[in-house]
Amino acid sequence: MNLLLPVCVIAVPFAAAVALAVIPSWRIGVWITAGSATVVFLLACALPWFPPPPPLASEPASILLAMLTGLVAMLTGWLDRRDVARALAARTLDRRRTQLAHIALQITLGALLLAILADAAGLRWLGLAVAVAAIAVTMAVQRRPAAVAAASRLLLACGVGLMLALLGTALLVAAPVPAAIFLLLGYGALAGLVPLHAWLPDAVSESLPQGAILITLLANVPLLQLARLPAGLLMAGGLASLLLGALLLSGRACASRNVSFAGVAQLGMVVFAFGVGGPAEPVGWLHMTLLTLTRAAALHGERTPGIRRPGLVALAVLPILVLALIAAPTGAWSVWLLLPLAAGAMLMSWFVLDTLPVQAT
Amino acid sequence: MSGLAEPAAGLAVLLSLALFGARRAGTVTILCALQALLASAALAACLPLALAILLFNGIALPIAVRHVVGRRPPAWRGDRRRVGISAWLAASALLVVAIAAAHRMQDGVVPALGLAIAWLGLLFVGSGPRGASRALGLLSSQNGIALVAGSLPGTPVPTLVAVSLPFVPALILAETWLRR
Repeated sequence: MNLLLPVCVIAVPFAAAVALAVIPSWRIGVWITAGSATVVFLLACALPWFPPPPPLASEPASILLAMLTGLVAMLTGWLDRRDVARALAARTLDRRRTQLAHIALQITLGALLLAILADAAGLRWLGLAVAVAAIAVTMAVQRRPAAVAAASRLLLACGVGLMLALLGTALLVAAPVPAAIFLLLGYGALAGLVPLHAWLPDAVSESLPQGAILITLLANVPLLQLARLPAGLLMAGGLASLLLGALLLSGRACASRNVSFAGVAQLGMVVFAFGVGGPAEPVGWLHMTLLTLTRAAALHGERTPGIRRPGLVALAVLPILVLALIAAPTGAWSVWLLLPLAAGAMLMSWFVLDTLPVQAT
Repeated sequence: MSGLAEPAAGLAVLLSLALFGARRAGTVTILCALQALLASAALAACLPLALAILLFNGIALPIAVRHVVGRRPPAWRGDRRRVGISAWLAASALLVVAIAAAHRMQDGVVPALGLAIAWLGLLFVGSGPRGASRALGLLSSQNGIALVAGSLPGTPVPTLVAVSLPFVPALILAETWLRR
């Protein structure tokens, strides 16, 4: 059971991708996409009680991230059913491209879950590489020149990042210090940390709604590897991202780009918290959780003004926190759970409410 | 490690430097294929990895690049003057650093030379023009990473699998092909 459960969590999206490849109807495809993500979330919720054995990752951060990824994918699947109809009506997509986008989204989800639940650095790298490729497909499928250019930038920046990360992974056993530098640069590119952060705002603003949210999930996965690096490096890298992200936010930009710049700064703060270590590390993970939900809420809200979807996503924080509390009622996580919950909920409300008027104007 | 490994890795580094002087896409493709051949020779002690490098990096991807680039004039002829001096300076500095690192590494010279190849490949991506040259730079970088991973003892099997598949260069090449 302990091995079967995480394997199912990873395999369900790939199985859904095969089903989507066989079934051409976009209406059925929408239901398969939402259903697959729901099954993934439900299975991921059982992971705290059946922790994966080696060679899969059983650390609490991996399980939390798997649950969070499943939750956001599920909400995205159910809330965005109308977006496909709108895109078809606006001729942004045709039926064949919609099918391709659905397949790519499922492959992205499966690859992200593989990267999250794999303990081996090489396997995690492979999962991230597949996820990057699939996300590029979800962007390029729109055939708009700006979207294709953004997909190209994403591929190049993340490709260089993946190569640096692979070099760091290869050196990990023999030369830990240079390996840490390469891993910070490489996985930092995928997380949208400076200096290879430039792809993120364009990718989020030019992507399909579901794809944009999966990009925010992609940015979380490298944190699992980054959290293991030396403290000094993490503090320097995190601080650089925090400062630059804050500077970029001061310029005028569209709402989705602002969400991306804010994400760069906030992820910098998370990495900085990992560098500080001790009690700051679980706070960093919880901040990442709230940040992911906030970004998902803001991206949903931007594309559907007038509907209180951000409120729905904000409410979704509760199951995550309740499940974390049940999984480790006396753990260090639980002690720190309430403080960031209160602070994060306030921050989230302010941020979402602040983002929506920017889009409206 | 066989006695062939160090000379082969040294020649592969020289081929990396030669990338910056090449004028035609076809020449760069041949250089990358030769480099993969040398890398697989240097990794003869790790036979599955050597075969994978030879098959994917030495044969399959160069053929695919030839197919994508075709016989058209290379795109980077006009850009060479702009990027030439800085690229050569950076490449020379990297080579000096790699040679210095080679004296300090306990696992021999080959990993340090592999590191130099990987860096030079990434430098080629950054300093070169767009299009297939990016895929070729990443392919050269992949050869270097394979040298590093294959020559260091205790590299885990999943890492060797990840290193043996030129996933990222193939991805960039596919993107170049689709944008044509």
